Amino acid sequence: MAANRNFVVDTRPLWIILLQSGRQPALLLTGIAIYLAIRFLITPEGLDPTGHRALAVFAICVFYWAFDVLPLMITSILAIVLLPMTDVLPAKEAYSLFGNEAVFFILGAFILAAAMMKSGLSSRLALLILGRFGHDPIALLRGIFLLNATMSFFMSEHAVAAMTFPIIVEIIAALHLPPERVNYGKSLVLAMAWGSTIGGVATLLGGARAPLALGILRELTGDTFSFAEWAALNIPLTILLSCVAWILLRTYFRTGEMDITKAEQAVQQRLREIGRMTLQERLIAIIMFATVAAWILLGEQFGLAGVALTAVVVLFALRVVQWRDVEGYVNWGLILMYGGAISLGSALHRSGAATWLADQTIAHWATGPVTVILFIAAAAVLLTEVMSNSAAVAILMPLSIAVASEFDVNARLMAPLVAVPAGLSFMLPIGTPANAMAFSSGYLRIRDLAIPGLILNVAGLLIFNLMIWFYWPLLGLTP
Amino acid sequence: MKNVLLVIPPGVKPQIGLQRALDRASETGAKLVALVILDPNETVRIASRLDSAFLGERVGDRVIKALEREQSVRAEDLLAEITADAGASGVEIIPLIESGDTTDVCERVIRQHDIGYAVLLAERRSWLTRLLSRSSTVNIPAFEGCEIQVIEETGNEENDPDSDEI
Repeated sequence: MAANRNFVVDTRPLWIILLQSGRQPALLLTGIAIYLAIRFLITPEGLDPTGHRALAVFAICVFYWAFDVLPLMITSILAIVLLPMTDVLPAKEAYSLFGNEAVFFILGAFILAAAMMKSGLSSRLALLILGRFGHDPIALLRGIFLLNATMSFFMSEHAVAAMTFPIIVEIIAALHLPPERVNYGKSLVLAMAWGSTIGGVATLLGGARAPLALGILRELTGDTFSFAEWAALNIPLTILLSCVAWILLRTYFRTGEMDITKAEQAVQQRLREIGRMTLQERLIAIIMFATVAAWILLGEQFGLAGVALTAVVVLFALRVVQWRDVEGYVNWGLILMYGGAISLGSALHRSGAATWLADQTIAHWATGPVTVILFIAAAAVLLTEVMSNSAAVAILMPLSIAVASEFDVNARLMAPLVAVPAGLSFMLPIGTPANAMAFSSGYLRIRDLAIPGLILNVAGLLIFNLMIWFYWPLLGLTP
Repeated sequence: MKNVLLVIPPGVKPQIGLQRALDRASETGAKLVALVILDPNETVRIASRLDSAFLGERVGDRVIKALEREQSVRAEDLLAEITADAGASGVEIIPLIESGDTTDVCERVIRQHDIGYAVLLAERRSWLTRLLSRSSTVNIPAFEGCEIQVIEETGNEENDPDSDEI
């Protein structure tokens, strides 16, 4: 071999290698080009100049969100900067939308989750459940799946996955499963990812996308959902989809008999290490329980954000959590992301751009309420596989509310119609952090995620549509 | 006498490459340096995904630590298997786990261990994997007196009869 030649080993197709080498600057410039192209085109018929400018801002944000050109929250800041600069919204209004109740509800929920994680309460609960139920391979697998699903009812599904992932990795390490030929390792990491994703759609605490959808709904229509209403709508879907996921886990990744004594010992060892439940953990558990009860019973009276922030104040008043702990567990970019997304949604709605865009897209292809609902839900599922689920909600909510009025569909329905499917990401590692973690464990190939993930996506979409037409009307939410 | 190097990326179970390296070491009476290179970019990718879920630094740190521990346990298990195979073939082995840029690590190990023949394993991936996943380009500088051979091996698709070949 010649001494000065490099040996290049890259099995990717050439076009991908070429595309990726100059990806970031090229995408940045493409976004700017899209913005300028829309901005300086002749205003389309049916769209006024303000709507035209709002559309250009929307286009650049969608592009940057979709291709991860900038961090999510920075794209939101870009929206906030461009909206007043282009006279779409007065600066005062654009910035005031950061104060939306939904943003503060998300913030409160994240701080509560941070307290649970910091105190070790969430890990303790996870270990207790696994220690109690994980005596054989199937029970352990079921324990991990149900643990992730039920914990995602009460805290962000991403936080749940991040909290249980180290425990699962430890269990796998204790079992000394070689990555190849062993389906059990794949099942364990997928149980973590699927459990948290499915559980995350059940309540408003499972992820920030549902509160974001509610924030946009309230901003555009004045309507909302209570904590209990949202849970009542979505818990049956969670149960049915959990059954499908469980069957898939057991049939797609068949596992033989296995001795899991070492995994049990690892869990027991961890439980011994964390010792007895501390006063801090007990207080956090009580506050968390009381907060969920207050969201259900008093949420409509005091507002979801009011209850969440009261709980945060109590946490600090009782000194069970400190500010620096919260800072380590919550990424403050969330305020920028959701504030910006709500501002953008509001600008699109007020300027008429949302209606115009809905006319050109969804309304153009849909034939009636059935196809509108199917189309929006499918679009949410597809978008969430390739971009952040919050970005998917930010893009689809304003359009969906606009199209609802065109087809005489209940606009209130649009919040769960967008937010729930936007949480159902099973196919790709980039879909959710839980998928990314499962994939990075080294036990999964892409197709271990993609093929069963596609089946789950289709099943989820089907069950979700059945819920809309046959179950939700029983709760008074008719299409 | 120059030694033999076997470079194993994460997730690749060496079979053909291991046999090739063992045969060469056995023929020449050389030592086999088995090197597993852990990918630090994997943890960076995870951290960036957690950022997009608005989880704080401490949450990311916990996940990354777990991931690093897992990668290292798997590498140790793999090297233990290779050591046993080498022992059975009567080849002396130097097991190494390194983290970092493949190019830099290989360069250093080739120099330090007086390598004359290197087997570099590349993961054989299905069309779906190639379409959907990212992978990094590995540039191994050529060295005077060191023959480099690249062998494609299956990753976790071992014994999978219907896996697609490149």
